Parts: sequence; C-alpha cells; structure tokens
Amino acid sequence: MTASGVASTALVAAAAACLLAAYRLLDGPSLPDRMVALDTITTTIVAVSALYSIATDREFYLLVSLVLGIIGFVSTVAVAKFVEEGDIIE
Amino acid sequence: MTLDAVSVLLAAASPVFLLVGALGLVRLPGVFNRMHSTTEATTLGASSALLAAALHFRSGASLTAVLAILFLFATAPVGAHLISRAAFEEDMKPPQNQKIGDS
Repeated sequence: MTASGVASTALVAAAAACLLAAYRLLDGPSLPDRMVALDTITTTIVAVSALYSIATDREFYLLVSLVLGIIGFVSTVAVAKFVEEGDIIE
Repeated sequence: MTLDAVSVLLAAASPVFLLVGALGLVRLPGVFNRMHSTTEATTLGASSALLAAALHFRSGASLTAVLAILFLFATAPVGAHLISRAAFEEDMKPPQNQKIGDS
C-alpha cells in the first residue's frame, strides 16, 4: 500500500474521531464539556490537514495545519476567558 | 526507504491516537476525565501525522511540520489548563470515589 493510500484510510478514521467529538459538542451537558470537544476537533483537524498533505502530495497543506493550530489555540484562550470573566476585551 | 516506512507507520498510528481520545471524550464521565483523555491523545495523534508528513516530504516543508509539532506541544497544556480553570470556576469539582463502566 502506498503512502497516499495509507493517508487516505487514516483520513476516514480521523473523520470518525471528529464525529465522536461532535457528538460531545452537541450533547455535552455543560459549557466546559463543549469547550473540550471544540479543542479536540481543532487538534483533529490539524492532523487531518497533515494527512491530506500526504494523501495529495501537496506541501501547502502543512502551512494550513500550522495556521489552524495557531487559530485553535487563540480561540481556546478566548472562549476560556469568556467563560471565566464574561467578556473578552476589557 | 526506511524513512518512507517510518512515515507510513506514523500516518497509520495517528488516527488510532485520535480515535482513542475521541472515544474517551464520549465515554468518560465529567469534564476533567474527558479532558484527561483528549488532551494528550489528540496532541500525540496530530504530532505523529505532522511527523509523518515531515518524513514524507523531506524538504523545506518539513521544517513547517516540525514547527507545528513544537507549537502543539507548547500550547496544548496551556489550553487544557485554561479550560480546566474555567470549569473549576463554574463550581465543577473533580469527582471523588467515582466508578467507571458497568461495575
């Protein structure tokens, strides 16, 4: 099996992990549960982008995964601050 | 040749980590248990996918992948700490003497 074939199969499994996290995002009884689910989905999408770069043999998607990781961290910090203090920009 | 094999192995291992983390997110009770399951597992899954991509290309793009791995390892604990602090402020205490599963 080639590298792109393995990466394509791994993409399906990563999508399944994303769906499991989406279940917790919709069902989660409390707000912190949903924050954890969103954080999980962001990190999973970083992995999906890296696997997609292997599957299609395009280096560009590694930059996409780096930027998605940065955006995910900033959004996690923003939501955590919103839950704790009620507003983000003072 | 060997590096290609390692790359394929890492690409195959990364969804296993991701699935285990997401399974814990669905099955475990309470915010703190769920965070314990997902934070490390998904970080490992994303890092192994990025490392597989770095070994697959072996060019300038590999540096981008290594940078993304370093960034993930630096920020994932910080994000988890912030989420757990927000959960603790919302009076969600870690459970005592809990039972997991059907026992």
